[in-house]
Amino acid sequence: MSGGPLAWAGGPEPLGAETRVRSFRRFLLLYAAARSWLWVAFSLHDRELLVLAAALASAGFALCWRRDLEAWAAPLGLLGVGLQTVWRFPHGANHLYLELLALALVALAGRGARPDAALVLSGLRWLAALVLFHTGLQKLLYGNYFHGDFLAYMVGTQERFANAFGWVLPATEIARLEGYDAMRTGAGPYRVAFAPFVLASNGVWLAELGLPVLLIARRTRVWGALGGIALMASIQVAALELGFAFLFLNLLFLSLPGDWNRRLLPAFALVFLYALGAAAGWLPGRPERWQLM
Amino acid sequence: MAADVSRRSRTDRAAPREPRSAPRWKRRAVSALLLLVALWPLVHRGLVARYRIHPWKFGGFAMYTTHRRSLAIAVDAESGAPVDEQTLSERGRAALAAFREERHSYGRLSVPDRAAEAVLLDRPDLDHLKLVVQLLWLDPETGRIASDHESYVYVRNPAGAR
Repeated sequence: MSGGPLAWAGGPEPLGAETRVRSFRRFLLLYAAARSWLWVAFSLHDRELLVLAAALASAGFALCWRRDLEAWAAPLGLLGVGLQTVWRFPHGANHLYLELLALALVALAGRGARPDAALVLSGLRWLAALVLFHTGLQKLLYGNYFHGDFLAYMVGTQERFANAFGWVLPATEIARLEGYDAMRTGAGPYRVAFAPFVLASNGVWLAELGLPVLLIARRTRVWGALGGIALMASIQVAALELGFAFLFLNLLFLSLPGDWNRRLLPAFALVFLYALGAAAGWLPGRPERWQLM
Repeated sequence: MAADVSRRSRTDRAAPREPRSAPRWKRRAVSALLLLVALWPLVHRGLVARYRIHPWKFGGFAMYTTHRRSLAIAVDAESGAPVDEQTLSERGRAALAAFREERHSYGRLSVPDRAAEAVLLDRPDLDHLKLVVQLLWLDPETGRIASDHESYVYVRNPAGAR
């Protein structure tokens, strides 16, 4: 890899960029295949197209384990997820676009020659940093986090948020927020006079703007990744968005020493298997509520 | 000795040396993708402000940043009395439903011409039709739900609808 901003996210790799990209590719194709089959399980329309997309992603995942064919894994996954993106447009969630972008980058790794893998690894680290930065910037631009309005609105309208903040906010405040009719003009104020709540609200966007800088700089990359993982974990307490969380965590793992993509792959595989089993009705649970898709 | 050197030299030539950097087209492709990720959310924010597209959609990475924005669409006759949607044909109701869904995502980029045409076809007694789109959002100034209305007025022309 030559100089320029892409090189900022590079540097010596004790593990080898090829190993890191290979491990991430296996996670990414597992994620694409499992999510695609969950779509098949829960969609009422266009099942033939969704089955085709899921089959392409699954074939990609299978190819990840054959050194001579692994270069075709991401292009196959990209084709499957691309079909789903077009089919779902404009209702695709942001993490579907993130998945598509990650697949496009990994597809460029080809057979995993070291310079190509180093380039793709830098690209993936930049992707994580840019997405995190933009989530913070958007919160800053919309202005609904300064006084905690958005979180208060979510507490008032979403049971998950009310439960998560139940241990912080007095019950009377939660009851007040839940009492507003959010479909009526003038409803509110969705504000809470409780400093830790407002601090937490501002802490989210400040962390999202600050952590990407740490993620890119070589010396602070590990701290950026650990901060990002802590942020993801705390967000999941209220907003259960497992699909985005799994994908983003694996992007962050690329900035940690050690091959965490490989080490935790079996754990992610188990969660997906459980979700698919529950979707088929063989296991208890409601995976459609876990936002894995 | 000379033969050894010659042999090593041939071996070096035979083994392909790994290039030090990725091909230029791959570097350009990665840069282009990242540039798109860097710039699109800013364009997206502009589209939300100008056309009121749905902030959670279209890959702007703005989920959980602001209210999902609720939408209410009313169909009124010239007198201001609401048009009972149950009096419309299945086609008319489907056209209105399609507009509601499109408007929710595309904001002002979606106009109700086809829905109005379908309603006027179903209701020959109406000469005028008004579609009122009400958008609700969470006002960062007050922390309250705010709203505004946009009206689309249609007048039946002598040839028929609209």
